[in-house]
Amino acid sequence: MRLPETVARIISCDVFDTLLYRDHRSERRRFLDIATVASRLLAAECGVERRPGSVYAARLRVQREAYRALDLTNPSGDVRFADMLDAMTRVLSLDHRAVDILYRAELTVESAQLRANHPLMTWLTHRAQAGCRIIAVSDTYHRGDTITHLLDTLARNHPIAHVYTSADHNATKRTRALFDVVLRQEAAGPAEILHLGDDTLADVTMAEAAGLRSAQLLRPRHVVLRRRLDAVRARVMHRHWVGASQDGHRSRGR
Amino acid sequence: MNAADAARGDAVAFGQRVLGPILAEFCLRLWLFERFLTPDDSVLLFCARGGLRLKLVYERFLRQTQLPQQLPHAALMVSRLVAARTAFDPPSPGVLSELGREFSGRSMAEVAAALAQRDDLDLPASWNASFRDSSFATLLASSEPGVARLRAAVAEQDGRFREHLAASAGAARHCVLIDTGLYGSTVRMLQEGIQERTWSGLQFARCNYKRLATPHFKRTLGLSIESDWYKPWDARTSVLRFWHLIEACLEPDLPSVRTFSQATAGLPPRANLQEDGWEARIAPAQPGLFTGVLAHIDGLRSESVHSIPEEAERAWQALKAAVIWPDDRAVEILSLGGRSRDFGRVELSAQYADARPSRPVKRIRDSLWREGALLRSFPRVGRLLLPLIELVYTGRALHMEASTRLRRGRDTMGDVHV
Repeated sequence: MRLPETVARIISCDVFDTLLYRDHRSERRRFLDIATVASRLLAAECGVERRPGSVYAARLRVQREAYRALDLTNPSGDVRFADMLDAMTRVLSLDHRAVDILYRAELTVESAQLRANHPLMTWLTHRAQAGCRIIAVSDTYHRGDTITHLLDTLARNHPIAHVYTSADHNATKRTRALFDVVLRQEAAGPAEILHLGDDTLADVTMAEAAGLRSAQLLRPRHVVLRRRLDAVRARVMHRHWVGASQDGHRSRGR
Repeated sequence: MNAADAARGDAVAFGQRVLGPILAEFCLRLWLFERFLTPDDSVLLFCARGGLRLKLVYERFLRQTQLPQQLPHAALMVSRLVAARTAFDPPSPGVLSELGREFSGRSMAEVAAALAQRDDLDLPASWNASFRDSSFATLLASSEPGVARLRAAVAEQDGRFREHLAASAGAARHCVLIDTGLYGSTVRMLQEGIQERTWSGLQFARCNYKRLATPHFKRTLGLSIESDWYKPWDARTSVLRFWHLIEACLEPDLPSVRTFSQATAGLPPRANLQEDGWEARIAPAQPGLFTGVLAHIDGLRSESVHSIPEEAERAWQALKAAVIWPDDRAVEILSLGGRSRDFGRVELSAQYADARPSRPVKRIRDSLWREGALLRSFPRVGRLLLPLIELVYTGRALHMEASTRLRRGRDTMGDVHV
């Protein structure tokens, strides 16, 4: 990873796959893992049986419709995870206690499958000691509090002073709206901020469109390839993962 | 119980066992969508005629499942004819392509009569030529008295529709049309004609069976099916082989919207559909597919919402079995009568084309449900031919999938080079 020499007053960092590395697992695979944890917690704490396949299918459906609705009404905004959890509990016929369980399942799996990007954290710490303000700017349905919790858990003594998320501000990097929020709230000129991230559109093109300087930090090719293969596998296995819950449902009925 | 009563009973059972779970899943997906739309700015408008029954089903679904309503709901008296009037002068690309398809080989005078719903326009002889979009736009721009009468009649009806829309949608800028499907012509034409509002379409199915341009597909979604052709490996798409089944189930015995009467005493203009007692006619008068659907919906509870997707998955398989591999009983249950041609005309398309012993293949091909027509024409050997039909459709689907992927690949390469 080559990090730029900079005189920026503020360094802004993307979170997922920049500050915190995801492993090789695809999003669908991660959702299945979350569903498996949630299913176990629901049984243990609420005595409710919901198969992992049902929870996984509900998550995919809720997220799909949430983002399709967003595209129709506010393509510059983002969905909030709390709203998705509320919809999921209703789709799964669960009571309000399930919201906390689903949230904890999400954090459990995220914490297990994410790891800190230590070289970047070390470099940022040095920049912070030299007087730079370090912020995180993430396109995510999670609130800033959740991202801060993940950073605190996975990268103790991290130098991130503030977290901006698209969900908190209903503004995404992909249309540069979130960068405009950052510039306003940080009371900074665009030239004062260097943004680091992995996504070409969100972290480079749109950051530069907002006037920021940017540097792209890409994951190694073998990680990208493994993740793509895992995504293919998840697509192939999708029916099986969802179907497992249907078989279970039928057998309970007998 | 006589044979007619037994057939109706079977239709109710099919509606309850198959179409009910499928529509419950549609309602759940619609609720999810509604859950994430902006509350202060959007309204769900259920389009006449199929949307009126969808509204009834959806509101019962919400009541039974106790899922909270997020947005205002209203009925919208609209049809392709009414939507075409909003973008008529000058005619928009969507209106011209719709007219070109609907009135292919027919005269422009017929188009004018349908749009104006008048036969006293006294148009010049040039209007008797077959419809061509460029000629139509040119003729419409002339100042002949007959053309002026046409424009005035269309403008008057369009003005009344806009008053009705204002009463239904209120101040909401984002109108979400709920309808059965398929191509979404109404959304396309309203987007072109009424640009001061934003239009989206949430349909049961979205399918570009017309093979026309699809600029509106970014904002027109199929909540239960999105496919342009039948794919044997996807049970949901089997409904595209017998779309008339969905229309027959969901379209109430009410006329298509053609005209609006003048507003009176502070009330918005009324559509021809809104004759006395129209609301009572949305629910069926006698047992059939739709009463079965309602019976299924009425049996839902908040604690059964989680099983809706699984029940729907089984129902889609059952629907495919009935449509693609029908037996005699399925053919009897699913013989549903004619289908309105619409667009200002009153004639019907029969589910099964006219019997001509010399041309049975044409009869099957021209029917709205080919598998059913095959079994009716050849009760004994027809069943043996069903795998052949499926094989043909499989080949066609694979060819279409491959061509689409190739085309997408070429487009992507082109984008990269640009």
